[in-house]
Amino acid sequence: MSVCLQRDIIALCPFVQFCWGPAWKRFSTQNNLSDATKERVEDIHTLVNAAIKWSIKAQHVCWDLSSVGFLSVVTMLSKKEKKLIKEIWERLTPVAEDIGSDALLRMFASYPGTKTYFSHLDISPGSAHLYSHGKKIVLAIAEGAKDISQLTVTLAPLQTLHAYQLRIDPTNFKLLSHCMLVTLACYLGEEFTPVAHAAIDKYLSAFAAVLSEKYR
Amino acid sequence: MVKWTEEERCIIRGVWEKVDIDEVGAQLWARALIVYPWIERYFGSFGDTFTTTAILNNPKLAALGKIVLAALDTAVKNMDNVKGAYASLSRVHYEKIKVDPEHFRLLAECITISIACKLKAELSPQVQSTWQKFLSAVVDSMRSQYK
Repeated sequence: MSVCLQRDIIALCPFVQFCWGPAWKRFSTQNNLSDATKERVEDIHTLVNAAIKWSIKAQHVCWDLSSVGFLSVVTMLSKKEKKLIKEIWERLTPVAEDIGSDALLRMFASYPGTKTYFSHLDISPGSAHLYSHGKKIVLAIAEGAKDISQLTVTLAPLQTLHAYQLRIDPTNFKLLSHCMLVTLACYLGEEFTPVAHAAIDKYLSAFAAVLSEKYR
Repeated sequence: MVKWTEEERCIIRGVWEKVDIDEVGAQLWARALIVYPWIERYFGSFGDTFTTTAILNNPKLAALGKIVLAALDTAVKNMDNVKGAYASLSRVHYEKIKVDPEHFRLLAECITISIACKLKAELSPQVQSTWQKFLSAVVDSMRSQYK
């Protein structure tokens, strides 16, 4: 690929950063952009991201994620993803007990080490403790999904609980997230499309990261 | 060498019997690439893999998915010596394709989730646990020649 083309694509990076940062939010509010316009810009942003990925690939260049800040926008949740996540967790709220207990049971079965955090509860299949604890977890995840941009605020009390009282090793959050994904796949079947899977995986990673922010 | 009880063998074969290799295989890499886009690094010769639509409709990815599941079939049939059965595969992935072994684990997770979408409640917590134990053995075998 020509150097000129690569330069042109890299020149689009400020646009990409602009579209996701606070500057974009201010711009779109101040200029009263319609939802349709904002969506079109965000679609362009998705295309630009794809072009950037293509340019990187064509050059077989490995970009260090930390040093090239614009790449971080690729991993952020788009508006469509946030909407999808919110809708899915809203649907799961009425069956929070079933979803939560199922995910926990899967985690205890596949990763027995996780049981060490639950010696104070009866975690046998069908137990009242399992249902109530599972329900708490799913409702917290659903609450966060209502406004993902406010996750740190929503989770502040849970952050304190996990950091100073529960002190669950953060590696376990990944194990529960995986089991939660399997539970959702079993519950939603074909509706758990790759796009939904990716969005929820990203959300659960973000959730876990926020939850462990106060650990050190 | 992993030791399997009769019950575990039964469970693993039971899961595998229900998997339509063509159906699940066709969408396997699409799921992996959409969920973990950075594994695109191996797919330089696969044409358009830059948008979700392109990934979902890429025939080379679909074909590769079926090849992977056909290889998994070999593992199911050689449960007592997956390491031996996969030695040359492991070498190829290490020396020629240069795959990060962490990515075997990521693909294994996608396989489990694809199967969960099909099997639904039949993939109970116990069945999932046994199936994942099998996939861990497969992943370890794929890593065995990385020296």
